[in-house]
Amino acid sequence: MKSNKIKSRWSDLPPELVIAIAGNLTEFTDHLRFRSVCSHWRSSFHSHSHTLRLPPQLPWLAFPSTSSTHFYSLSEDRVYSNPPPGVADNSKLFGSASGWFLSVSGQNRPITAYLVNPFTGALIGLPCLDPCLPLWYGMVYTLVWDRSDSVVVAGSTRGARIFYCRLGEAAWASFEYPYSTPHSITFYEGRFYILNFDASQTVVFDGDTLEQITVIDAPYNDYPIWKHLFVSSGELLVLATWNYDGLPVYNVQRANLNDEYVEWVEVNDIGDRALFVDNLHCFSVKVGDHSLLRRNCIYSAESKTSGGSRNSLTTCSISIFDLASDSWECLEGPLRKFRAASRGAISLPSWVLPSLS
Amino acid sequence: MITLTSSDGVQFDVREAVAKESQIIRDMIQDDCVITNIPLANVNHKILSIVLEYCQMHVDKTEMEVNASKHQTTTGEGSSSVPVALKVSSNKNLNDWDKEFINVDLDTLYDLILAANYLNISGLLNLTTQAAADIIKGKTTEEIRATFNIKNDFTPEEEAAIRKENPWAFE
Repeated sequence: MKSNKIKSRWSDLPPELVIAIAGNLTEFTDHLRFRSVCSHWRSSFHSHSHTLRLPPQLPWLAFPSTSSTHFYSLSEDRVYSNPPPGVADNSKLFGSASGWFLSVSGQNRPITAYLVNPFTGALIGLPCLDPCLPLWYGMVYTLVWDRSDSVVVAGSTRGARIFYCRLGEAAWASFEYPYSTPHSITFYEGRFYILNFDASQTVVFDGDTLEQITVIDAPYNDYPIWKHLFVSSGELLVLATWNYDGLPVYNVQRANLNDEYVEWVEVNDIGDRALFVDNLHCFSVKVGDHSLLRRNCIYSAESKTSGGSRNSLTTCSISIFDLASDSWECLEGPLRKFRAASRGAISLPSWVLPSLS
Repeated sequence: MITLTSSDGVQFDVREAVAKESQIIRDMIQDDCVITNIPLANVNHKILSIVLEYCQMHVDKTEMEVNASKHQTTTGEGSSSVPVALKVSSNKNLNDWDKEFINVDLDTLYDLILAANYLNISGLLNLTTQAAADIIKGKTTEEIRATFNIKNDFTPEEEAAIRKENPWAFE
């Protein structure tokens, strides 16, 4: 009992040493809890945060459950069940490689939209989506989007319009997408790449003016289930998947961009990278020193619904597909015991790459 | 030899190489090459003896490696694989030794962090702050407080605001 009376010296640790300890914490979550221990530790971050660099984090998976949106941490192999602020129970979350989710909610107009970074608690309000007709509610199930520092660009795989909103502006604007429906939107180094499914073309837009820069022919694929465009290490790549007897098969193609035309080459080895893909987007992660991550593999998250309409059961799962051996396995984890939402909210799991900015 | 005097007046005679593991002592010796006695006002004899044990070990290991590589250059190409293996195993041994060395109580760990910082011994500072981080990893905020005997000094309002920012992190 005596020890309780003595104030621990640890709470007086000089700020630069608090930061030095924090610098050895590799997980976001450890970080958040560490800086919430006492006021002195917390204030150390305000004065010294510029000296702190967290190592790259592994992707997290957001998946709706019957109670609320849950988060699955791949590196910790555990599920967090309290949603971040701003995530309403019936909202849909669309992840991104920037660490931000696009959160969309409201079955009846107006459809409200936010950008939310669950890892910093930051929220950026966006204008309601209803003035930009014709975005009907069903489209919200199939939103594809990405953002630059200043612009959010979204579209639905069911509609032929692109919606965009400059942060801080009061309304969305939209324009007709010239090639049927957008299938994936990727922001990379100042440009938005929008892949369309049917006509197999990628339109490149300037990240600031949203003026069309060029059109690249996308690779021809024989009726895949879906196809995603992503940009990684300066390469433009397309991931397509098929379903053979219930088993997924993936194919990655890389664009060789010449002045005159584009040539797509099948890639059997994506090197020291892992791909994270869900129904609506895809991004790549450098494997490097992450001992938990497998190189040249595709981490696919999906939800499956079984049973009738009255007692349907929806569950989320992650499968890992090895491009080198064309083999796959299911990631066993705490994800299994969670029932995804079966009513109201759509149950699309979505990957996000955590970021503090 | 250099004499280091702890804050409580205990003198330690150490080789210059050992004392120079500390950047601050290295700078003093460089500025004044006839210096032989250095008082260390912020480190008591108990902590200083632990710090010097660390410095001694790391200097010994480094010297062993230097000798091994000298051996390699004098005996020619034929035996080059032996010193490499020796170096790898000595690094491994040193890591094991560090691990064992830093297995101390939290009071001592706190003093070692301060001493490593004051004396500017980067290897020891990394080792000690890593050890503190390892203790914190995977613990809830409440568990960290209990472990380090830290009082929660946030007002209920502040506490609520912090939890509201990242409610999921406090499960």
